[in-house]
Amino acid sequence: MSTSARAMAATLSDGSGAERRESLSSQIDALSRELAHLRTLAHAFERWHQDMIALTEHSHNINVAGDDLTDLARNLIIVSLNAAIEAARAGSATHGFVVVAGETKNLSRRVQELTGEINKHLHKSLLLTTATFQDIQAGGKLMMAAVSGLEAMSKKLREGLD
Amino acid sequence: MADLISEHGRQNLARAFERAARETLIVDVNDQISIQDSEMLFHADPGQAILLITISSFTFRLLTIFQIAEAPALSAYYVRGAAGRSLQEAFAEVANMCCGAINRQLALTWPHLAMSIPQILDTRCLAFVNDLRPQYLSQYALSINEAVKLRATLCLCCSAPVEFAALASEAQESSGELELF
Amino acid sequence: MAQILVVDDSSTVRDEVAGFLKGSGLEVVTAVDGRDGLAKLKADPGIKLVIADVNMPNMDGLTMVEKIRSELGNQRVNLVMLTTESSPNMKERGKAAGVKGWIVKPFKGAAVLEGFKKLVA
Repeated sequence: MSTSARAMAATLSDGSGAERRESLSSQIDALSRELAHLRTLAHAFERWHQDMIALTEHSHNINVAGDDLTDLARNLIIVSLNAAIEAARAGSATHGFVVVAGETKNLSRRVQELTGEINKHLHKSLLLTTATFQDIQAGGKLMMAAVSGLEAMSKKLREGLD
Repeated sequence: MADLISEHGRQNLARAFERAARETLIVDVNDQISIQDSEMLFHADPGQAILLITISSFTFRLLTIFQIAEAPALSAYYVRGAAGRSLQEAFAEVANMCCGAINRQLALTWPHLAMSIPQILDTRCLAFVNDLRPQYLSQYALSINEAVKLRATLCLCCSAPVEFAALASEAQESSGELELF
Repeated sequence: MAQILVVDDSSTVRDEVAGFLKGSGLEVVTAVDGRDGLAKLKADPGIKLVIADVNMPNMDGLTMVEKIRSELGNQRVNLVMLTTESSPNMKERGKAAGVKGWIVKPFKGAAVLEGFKKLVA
């Protein structure tokens, strides 16, 4: 048990009324201090809240980049199809291929840029999400343990009163 | 924003990590470990992974991030005897013990602490550690018997002033024994 | 029928602890997290002692022991935590759930064996 609880238990056996009152009073003070400490758990909730906001914004960025990528892929297909149709109509493949090659190079470069951007976004997202998840995992245990500590102090106080 | 952690606090935190590393990262008590302060390096080496553990309190969280490479020396050192076990799995428990030791030292000042389970991530994630908005960031190059290399990053995020007091003397409380309730 | 259940998400720890106990003549089964541990305990009424980690995925060790207490009752099995956590408040939570003992990793085999044997008897 914590040091303060042990100190409480030690003072419990005192016989005289005044001493008993004093020991109970100091136990109540210790409980109040623990409760004041527990109030700071608001900080943990606030940081999880901030983390979630950042993650949501970041997910939005990934979605936007993803949409751009889809648009690009669609454009690439359309350009290729058009060039193939043109070439077939004109009876010459060469001109069509030249057009496609030029457009494809531009689009491919843009696709690479975007995939690179998305990859970075994903790695950032993975780190932030994992950090928050771990914080919540540990935070939950932290709070349950704090509650157990308070329950133990309160139990000792009750035993002192009986 | 005023500094939420003093220089003294930073030094004590660094010391807590070094002490924990010395105690838990070596397999044999006769092995030599060297821990050097390092500049922040975020580049991704192919074949590396990062292992992340969080110690949380109400007003702060401390991330310990190990960079481990699939190198023969590292595997041979930590994966002993067990066939089929990966380096990542073997090292995850070592990292768990290291953070447990950091935790015990921080507990001298902070009664409210808990740890997460370890998580393996792609090394490329390390480049974004500043997006966690840390108040304190430090990196170390570790070397065991001059052959086994690791890197570790400490990342402290706090929302209120945080002090890490002077640490206990070298004598550890008896861990490893059964405490009966 | 096994006597001891070792619950830890680390295969290193499961192998080390189970190996040590088997070497001392005890019968051991293992589980990988709290959920698995609870299921294996329910499946084998012969288990007398559970040695469990706290920090595990899916269900942590303290949640598992609280469920053991509420779903199976304390009398059936002795519970010991083997963990890197040493917080007095966490120990209080364990105590309230009926945990009999706490070992901070790494465990010292010789020192704990006698205690384990008594808890299995």
